[in-house]
Order: sequence, then C-alpha cells, then structure tokens
Amino acid sequence: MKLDEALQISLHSINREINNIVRQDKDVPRSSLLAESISGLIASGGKRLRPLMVVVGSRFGPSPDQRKIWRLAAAAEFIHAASLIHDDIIDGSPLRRGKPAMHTTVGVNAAVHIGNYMFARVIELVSAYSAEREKYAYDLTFIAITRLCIGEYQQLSHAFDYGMTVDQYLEKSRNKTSLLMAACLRTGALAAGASGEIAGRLYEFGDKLGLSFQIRDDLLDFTGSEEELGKPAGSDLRNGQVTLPVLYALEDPALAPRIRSIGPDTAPQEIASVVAAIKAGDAPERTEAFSRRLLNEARGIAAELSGFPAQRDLLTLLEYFGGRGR
Amino acid sequence: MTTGLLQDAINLFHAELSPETGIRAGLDTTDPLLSGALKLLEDYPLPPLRSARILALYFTIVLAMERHHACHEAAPDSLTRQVLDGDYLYSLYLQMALKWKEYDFVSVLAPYIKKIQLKRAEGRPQDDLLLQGIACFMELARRKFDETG
Repeated sequence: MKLDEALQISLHSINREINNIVRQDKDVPRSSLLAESISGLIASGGKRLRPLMVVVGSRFGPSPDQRKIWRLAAAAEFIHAASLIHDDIIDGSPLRRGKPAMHTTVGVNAAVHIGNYMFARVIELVSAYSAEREKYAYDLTFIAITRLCIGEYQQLSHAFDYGMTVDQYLEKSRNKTSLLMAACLRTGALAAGASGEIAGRLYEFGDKLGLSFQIRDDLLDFTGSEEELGKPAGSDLRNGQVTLPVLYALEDPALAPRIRSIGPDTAPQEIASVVAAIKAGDAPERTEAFSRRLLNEARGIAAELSGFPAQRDLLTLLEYFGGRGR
Repeated sequence: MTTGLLQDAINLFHAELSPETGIRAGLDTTDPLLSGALKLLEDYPLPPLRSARILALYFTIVLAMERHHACHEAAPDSLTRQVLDGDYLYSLYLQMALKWKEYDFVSVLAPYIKKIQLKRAEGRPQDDLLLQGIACFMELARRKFDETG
C-alpha cells in the first residue's frame, strides 16, 4: 500500500491545492512559460512526503482547520519543488524524475527566477493568511531554506574531506533533510492548535525519522544496484560526499589510505574498487545499525503519544521509513 | 545620518549572517535601489534601531537579487555559489524580519518581491519594484508610528 493510502490522505486534494497556488495568482497568466513549467514539475510526481507530514502533524491538534492545513501542506511541497529546481542547477543535473530538469529547458536564468517566484509566492500567501501569532507558518519557508542552504554550504566545504567527524556529517544531514520533515510535522500540529510540547515531540520524531531516512539513502548508494539507484553505485563518493558508511570504513587501517586517495580526478575503476571494499567490510552493517537506532528512538517518542489516535500514523511513517516503502 | 545608519544596518546584517556561508556584503551606495531606500528612511524617520533594521532587511534582499542576477553570466564553477548565496540571503532576510517582528515589512514587500521574480523569469527585469515596495511599507510604518506614538 502506498504511504498516502496508508495514512488515508488524498493526494488528489494535495495536488489540487498545490496547483491552485499558481492558478490563483492573478499576476501569472495561465498560458505563461512559468505556469506551464511549474505545473509540469508538479505533475512529474514525487512522494509528497512533506505535505503528508503536515497533515499527520495536524491530527495531533484539537481543531484542524482543513482549509488551512491543506494550504500549509501544499506550501511545504511548493517550497520543496522550488528547492529541487535550484538543486538541479547547483548539481548540474540534466534530469529530474526522468525528465529534463527545468534549467535545461528554460535556461538557467529563467529557472533560478521561477524557483524564486515559487518561494516568494509562498511567502506572499503565508503573510496574507497568517496572523502574527501564527509565526510557525514561516518555519516551512525560512527554516527550511536557511537550513537547506547551510547544509549545501557544509557539503561544499566538506567535499572530499576525509577528516570530517560523524557529528559534522549528522549536522549536514539534518540541515539537508530532517529539519524540514520535522518542521512539517510541527507546523501541522501547531496549525491545528496542538500544544507547544506535543508539537516539540513531533519535531523530535520528525528529526530522527528524517535523519534515519537520509542515512539509509546514503547507505543505499553503496548497497543499491544501478537500476535501483538510477545512477552508478558509489556516486556520492565519486562526487566527494563523505557519508556515514565512508566514515566507518575510514576506521579500517587497511582501507583508509585507499579512500583518502580518492579525489575529483580519480579513475572510475579505482572508485568502483574502493566502493566494493567498503561494501564488503562492516561499514554498511554499522550504518544500518545507526539508522535503526534512530528509528527506535523515534518509535520511543511515538509510544509517548499513545493517547492520540494519530499515533497510528506515526507508526505508519516508521514502517515506511524503515524500508518497506522505499 | 546616512553613513551611520548604513553602518548600523551592516553591523546588524553581519551579526545574523552565518560564517559558514563565507558571504561578503559589498554595497554600492550609488545603486538607485539602495540610495532611493536611504532617502526614504531619511524622509520618514523612525526610531534609529528600527530604521537600521529596515535598511538591513532591505539590502539583504538587494544582495540576494544581485547574486541571482549574476547567475545568467556565471561560469559553471561560480554558478553554484551564486545560486546558493542568493537562496541563503532571501531566507536570511525572512529570518531577520521574523526575529525583529517586522511582519508588516514581510507582507507589504512580498507581492513586490514576487513580481520582481516574475519579470526576471520573463527576461524583462523590473527591479525598481523593490523601491516601490519599501516606499509603500514606509508609509504604513510612519502612519502606524504616528498613531501609536
């Protein structure tokens, strides 16, 4: 079963709300390149994890105003989609979800500013709809983007940095992935009138879940097949990204010098050989254990929320992020 | 007054800027966007700290716009930084505005910033919209300030 079905959330409603963000903007002609580019990106798919988390979070509050929740959920996905446009430019990726990335079709300048339009449109809506006491609605925008950017800066500065610590890796991963997921749960909860304490627990849950998700993703780069990944195994290492499996493998005195010798100009055969050596050692198992430990910590938080019917949704998320839905 | 105000705003900006970004703020005070805003802040005097904050918010947006404007001519190795710096600066602007409770600034400027992006995406930049935005905000701020004393 798909995640949205398991959570009993209508993706159709979320998608309609996302499309309305542009459609209801009187400053954008429907037939414009910008409107068509955005609707094409939205229609190209995606799991809608972030809006689903906003809706799940809202189920922990006493008064979910559905209209407001759908709007926030849509805003979360809109922000995510905008960040993908800019990510593809930053990474030089020609494809997004198997189709040409936006910057390859409309040009870099237009793509940068279409992404900016999406950010700005969300701010316009949030500032129009939110009272000052609903400052949390901005979490989805500025926290998300600031942390994402800091994560990118950290990734750039730590490229091929084999002296990076596990704590630095975790901080970068939080910034790039888990804090936005955590913010989605918290924002949904606060928008539905949940207490700050409950919203805070959901934030912690989302942080651990998201971090576990990112670590599993990093592990998959070593254990997954080219067919599963849509790119050759070891691509992260080839691009200079030092992830948790690499940090563990660096503790092996025989393997460490080979890993440290990898740089931007290393031959693909040598990288493939190092990837195979990392895969054969205990690093994948230790990484998996780390990810499982985070999931168990998240499960502990979910257990504390047993008084809420929506606890079952947290368990569904745990099951999905634990691997079955990947 | 203008030099002091600008320096105060720069200090506020640097206090909020993450050192991890490595961003350096080079401001061109002859840029009509900046000189126009300075003139407005002189014409509508608010309490000094508030004026400095408004200017810091405003020039953070200007810096973000500059970074992204440079993307169209950036070499591949500098493109990453231009995109990232612009994104970070837009989010920093919002972070500072919320920290200082300048909600009116955000809501008044939002449609102008959005239209600037639309025009730039169409290849017909109209960056002076930002000046119109801050003029609109200053009128509102002044009116509210006069009402509440």
